[in-house]
Parts: sequence; C-alpha cells; structure tokens
Amino acid sequence: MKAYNYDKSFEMYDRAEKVVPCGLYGHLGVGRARLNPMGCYPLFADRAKGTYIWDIDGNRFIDYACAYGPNVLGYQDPDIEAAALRQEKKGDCTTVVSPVMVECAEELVKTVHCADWAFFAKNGGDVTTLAIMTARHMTGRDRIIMMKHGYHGVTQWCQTPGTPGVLDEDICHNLYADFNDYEGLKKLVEKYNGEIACIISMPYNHISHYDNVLPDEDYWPKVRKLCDDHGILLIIDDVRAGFRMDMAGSDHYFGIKADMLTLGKAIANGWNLSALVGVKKIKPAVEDMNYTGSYWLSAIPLAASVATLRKMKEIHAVEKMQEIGEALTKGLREVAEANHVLIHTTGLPSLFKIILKDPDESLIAHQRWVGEMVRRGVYISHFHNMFTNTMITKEDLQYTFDVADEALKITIKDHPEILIR
Amino acid sequence: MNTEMMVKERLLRTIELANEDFEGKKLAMKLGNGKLIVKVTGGLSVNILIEEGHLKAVESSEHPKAIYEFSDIETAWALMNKSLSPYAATVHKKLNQQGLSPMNDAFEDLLMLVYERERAAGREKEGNYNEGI
Repeated sequence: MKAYNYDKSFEMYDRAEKVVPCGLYGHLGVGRARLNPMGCYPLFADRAKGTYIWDIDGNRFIDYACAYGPNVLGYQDPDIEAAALRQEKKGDCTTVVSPVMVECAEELVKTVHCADWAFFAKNGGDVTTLAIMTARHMTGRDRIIMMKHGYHGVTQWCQTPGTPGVLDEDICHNLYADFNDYEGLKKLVEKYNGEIACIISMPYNHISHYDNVLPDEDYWPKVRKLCDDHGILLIIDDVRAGFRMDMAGSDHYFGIKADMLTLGKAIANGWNLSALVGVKKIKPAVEDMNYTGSYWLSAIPLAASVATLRKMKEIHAVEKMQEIGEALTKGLREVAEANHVLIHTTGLPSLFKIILKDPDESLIAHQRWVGEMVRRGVYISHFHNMFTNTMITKEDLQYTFDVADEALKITIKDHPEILIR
Repeated sequence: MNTEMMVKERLLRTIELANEDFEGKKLAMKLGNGKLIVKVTGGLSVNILIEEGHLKAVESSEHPKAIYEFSDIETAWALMNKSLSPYAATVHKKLNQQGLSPMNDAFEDLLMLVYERERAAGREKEGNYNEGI
C-alpha cells in the first residue's frame, strides 16, 4: 500500500504556528510527542463521516481514535444530526432554557443506574471539578484520594507537581493510591480517617503508554464498602468509558453504585456536552454550588444527546462496539503471531489499548509500527487507548489487518529485537 | 566555547539541576526509571540513566527507554534557549522524540528549567557555566 503524504497539513501548520499557541495544542496537538513519529500523522482534517476521517491532503483514515471517545455512532450520524438540526431551527444558546434540558436529564435518570439527577456542562473537566467541590462541601473535608496515573482533566486540582501554573497549594490536599490495590487504599483511608471527602477514579486504569489494568473482581465492592464505612463519597469518572462498557454506567458494570458519576465524550456523539449525575442524597449539595457557564445549557447538544442515548439503546450499541472490539483485537493479535512478535491488547475491547512489545519496553518499535499504519490509512494513537464505534465494518477490519501486517514487516526490518525467539 | 561544547555543558547542567534543584527534583520524579539518550544526529550524545529521580551520565547507549534527538547542533542550541519553538521543530523534524513520552516530556521541561535559571543569572547565551546555578 502506498504511504500517504501530508504536504497541505504541514503548510497549514506553518500558518497555524503564527497565530495559535503551539500551532496545534492539547490532546489533538503536536506537543508531548503525541503525533510522533512526525510525518506519519495528518495534522488537519477536511471532513468526517461514519468511521472515517479525510485530511486536507485527501487521505482517508479508519479512525480508531474516534475523536478520543465522542464518536460512538459514526461521525455525522443522520439521526443525531437531524435531531440537532430540528433544535437548531428553534434556538440554541438563549436567555430562557429549552425544555430539552429536562428531556435529557430524564433520559439520563432513566438510563444510568446511579442517576437521580443530572447537571450539564461542556467538558469532562467541568464536571469532575464540580464533583470534587460538591464532595468537599457535603462532607466538610479537604482531602481527596485519586489514583496514580488517573486522568480527570486539566484543572489545577488534578494536575501533577511541577506543572506550569499549578501551585503546590492547588494539589496539597490530594492523596494518591495505586489502582486495584485495595489494601493500600484502605491504609490511606485509615491514616487520614475523618479527613477524606471522596475517592475519585476511572472505572479501570486507562493509563497512557502502558497496558491498561482491569480491577480484580471484588475490588470495587470492597472500595464501595470502605467508602460507606468512612463517610467518603465515591466518584466514578466515566467521561472516557461511559456508554462504552454499560449504558447504566461503568459502576453498574462492576456491580456497584457510585455516589456521583461524570459523563462526557459518548454522551452526544460528538456534540459538546458533559454531565454530572448522582444519587438523591447529593442533590442538595450540588444545589449550593455557584457553578455555571455561558453555553452549558445550549439546546442543540442536549437534543443531540437525547437522540444519541435513545439510538444507542435501540441498536444495542455497547454490545455492538464490544463485538467489533473483540474481532479487531483478536485479528491484530493473530497478525502479530503470524509475524512472530507480541502484541498486548488490554482493557475492554470497546476502548482497547494496544502495544507492540519490545524487550526494553521502550515503545520505540511500537511507535514505528503505529506510524506506518497511520500512513496507510489506519489511525491509531501510540500512547492512548483507542475506541470502537458502531459503524466499523468487516471490510474495515480486514483492511486494518492487512495494513497492520505490512507495517509490522517494515518495523521488524528496523527492529529485529522484537521478534520472539 | 563552541556550540557543541555549550550544548554538552547545558545537558550536563540539566543532570545537575535535576539532582539538586528543588523544582528540578520535582520534574526528575516524572522521568520514570531507565535510560534516556539525548543526542544530535551524527554528533554528540549523552546517555542518562535515571533511577528514582536521580540522574547520572553513563557510557552505554544500549537498552534506552527514550531517545531525544536534535537534527543538528544549531537546532539544539536554539531549542535550549527558547529561540525555536519545540512544536515547530517537531513538525519540521528538527526535534525527534522516540520511546516513552513521559520521559522525553519531563526531560524537555528540565531543559527549559535550566534555561530559566540561566536567564535569571543573566548568562543564558554566554556559555559561561563555571559558576553554580
């Protein structure tokens, strides 16, 4: 297969670099080696449809990044776009709120196990921050426990020491535990008995650059009881995994009920919306919060969310994405086996992590392999977990396997150390 | 002092700052464990072994966890003095990072911290590295 070139993307970057910090910033940007090996990834997209994106050079990609989560039903899904268009004709950002807000909250309460109410915002970080503020207000305690390598956005409280603009005072009440280490967590809770407002965690460890880690079978029930015994609120950050593991919430998937659950990404198939949901006892504390934003109750994303949630349930989207993910990860492991190398696929198949292993665990060969795949039309990130959506076909999967095979052969030539001997 | 010597001095200063400076130690803890190769294509190379936030230069370049590579010595010096954007340099393949990104990211932050310290001391481009930071 002919490798793509990105001449127009690079020309556009030169324009961007003059007027935009970094040229391209954040998780879609060029910093932090996110798009390395440079020259393998497109920098600017022209359009998207279904599971595909086309860049401004005209190259097509099967997109397993799914906009890093939001694309669940396919880009530009006709049903979701029609719902958005109907609302657009009536109004979006208005002084008086549309009833679609109530409709969306009702749909979430009907769908999500721990949801007795819903509070809407825009990004995941908006609602993880609200959850932390609410927990501190409700318990009268300062300390919070989060997992090492957990990701809850980029607000000061969830950044790491030494990050520019983050004060030690912003994070001095944070305590850090290892995910899936119940005894370690228990010790931490006992050490700071009566001081901890909440535990916030993703449902499983989606750690970047490494294999993802699922919890032991009894981990979450034990953590739930630990929280109950010590008056600690349990917040599950489901922004990334939400509606890809279980429509009722990832806490429900693991057999527990969180006190608060954060949602975003898949909630509106790419329309900008996030939500904090929670159990009844938390609602009065949320009502005390001084927390809002100009666009948080805009009607179009709320209408898109109602349509997304209903369609996902109707077509059994979660099961479908799991099946596609299983076929994809199994096929990629078979390609690796045929080439005498080792690929790890970890996490849930609908938000799988894939790593080509090397003896030094450096990811150098992995990055080369991923880069060569991207240059042939299969978009995978080298550091982040990937996602499936409901529009991926058997033909897309076969194309992916063919590209993975060709890219592996190229990689092995330069990195024979990855061969299993 | 020529540019290559100044670059090498700056890299050694980075190791020193990571081990001894209050802010540098915080960044060093983000590097993780393993070997980082910092090099200029076809030119100098410094291999840094990192263990629990402590850095030391070593001879062997085998088994790296990450590689931080400048395309040429002028680019290295320009990046170290913030006269070239690392983002533009990355896009134009003047800066090539391979391997564990958190290690490369934290090292880049350390390089910038050294620059800030040098600037505060008024000698960021002078190549005078005989005094303490």
